[in-house]
Amino acid sequence: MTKTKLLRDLRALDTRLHSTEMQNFFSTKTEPTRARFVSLRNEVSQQVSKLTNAELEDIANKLSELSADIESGIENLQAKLDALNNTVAILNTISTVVGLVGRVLAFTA
Amino acid sequence: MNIRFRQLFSLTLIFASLLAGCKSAKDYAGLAQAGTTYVAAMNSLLVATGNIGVDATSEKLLQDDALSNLSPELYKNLSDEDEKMLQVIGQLRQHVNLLGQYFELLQELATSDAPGKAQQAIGSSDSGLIGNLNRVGSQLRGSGFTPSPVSAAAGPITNTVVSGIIRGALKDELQLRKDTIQKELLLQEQLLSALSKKINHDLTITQQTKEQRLVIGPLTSPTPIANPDTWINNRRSVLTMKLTAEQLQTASNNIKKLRQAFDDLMAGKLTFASMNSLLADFSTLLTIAEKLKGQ
Repeated sequence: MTKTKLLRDLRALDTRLHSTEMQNFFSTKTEPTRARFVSLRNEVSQQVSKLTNAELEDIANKLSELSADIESGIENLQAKLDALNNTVAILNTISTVVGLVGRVLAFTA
Repeated sequence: MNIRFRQLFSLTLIFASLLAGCKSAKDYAGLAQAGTTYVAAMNSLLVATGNIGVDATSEKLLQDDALSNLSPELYKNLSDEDEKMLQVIGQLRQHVNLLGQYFELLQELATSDAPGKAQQAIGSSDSGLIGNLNRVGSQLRGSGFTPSPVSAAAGPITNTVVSGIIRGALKDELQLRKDTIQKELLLQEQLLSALSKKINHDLTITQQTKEQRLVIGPLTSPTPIANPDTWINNRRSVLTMKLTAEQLQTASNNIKKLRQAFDDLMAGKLTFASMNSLLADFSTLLTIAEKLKGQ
């Protein structure tokens, strides 16, 4: 049985154990029977949670392995954006300087 | 002189076009926007998964308590797993936020206004850098530095060249990160499917226990329902609870489309229609995730 199938079956069991019918059925039983049922139901829910967490943790770990490369991508894109903004800023600065030279020349002429 | 300038600009233009490939910045921007929307949806979905999971456990504990007094050990069995789940969700959200930053920067670069700003900075015969150069030239030797056909063409050509550089940078970045992005999208598919199944299970349990606790219990008790309006609202919210979870399962399949869109973009086959459809699908996913977060 695969983990996926096990989790699917355990979830179906968990749902059934928490159904209104099951709750009503056991509410008429003796205290030891009710306590035993609650303990077993708790065990099933715990196993469902454990398997679900393991599945999510496995995906999270695999995703974390990709984080470093995504961070490199972020740095690369940021550097490209900075370079573009710098180019525009440099063009504007040169234009301003040339404009000033023009005004100085006009003044000295 | 004019001919030489024109040849130089034409060559630069051809070089920039070759550097960029034939994909438009719009295609990259579309993919980046789809990615950003997906990340927003995933973030909400992760928060919703945590809240719905914790609430489902609380409902289970209350149901258990109604049958038999619970021991601290039985409480801890479930509560510890909830804490573990919240920890893993935190780890997943950290990664999703990183992916979000990546898509945002991709979009920022694809929609950058640098080509327009560069065109403005270069200017024409009487504005910007060229305008100022011409004014200096006129004062030094009685005529402008740049011939008027070149002045008129310089701005638009600069715009095209900068646009080409941006497309080239986007293409290079995605080419460099291709394998990682493909792996990432494949894992996101698995994650969305796992979350969707977990949410569906937790909501099924919450629905049936809440229905018993808030709807059937008060109705079958010997005393009349104290506040009928609250009971009506409770009943409606309980019965419609799973509709959103079912919508989520349908929407979960759309993540496959993002992977396909990325492959199409890399192969130069991405169509405007498929990009629009992807954006619409992710907007739906975002709406569903927001609804679940509010449950």
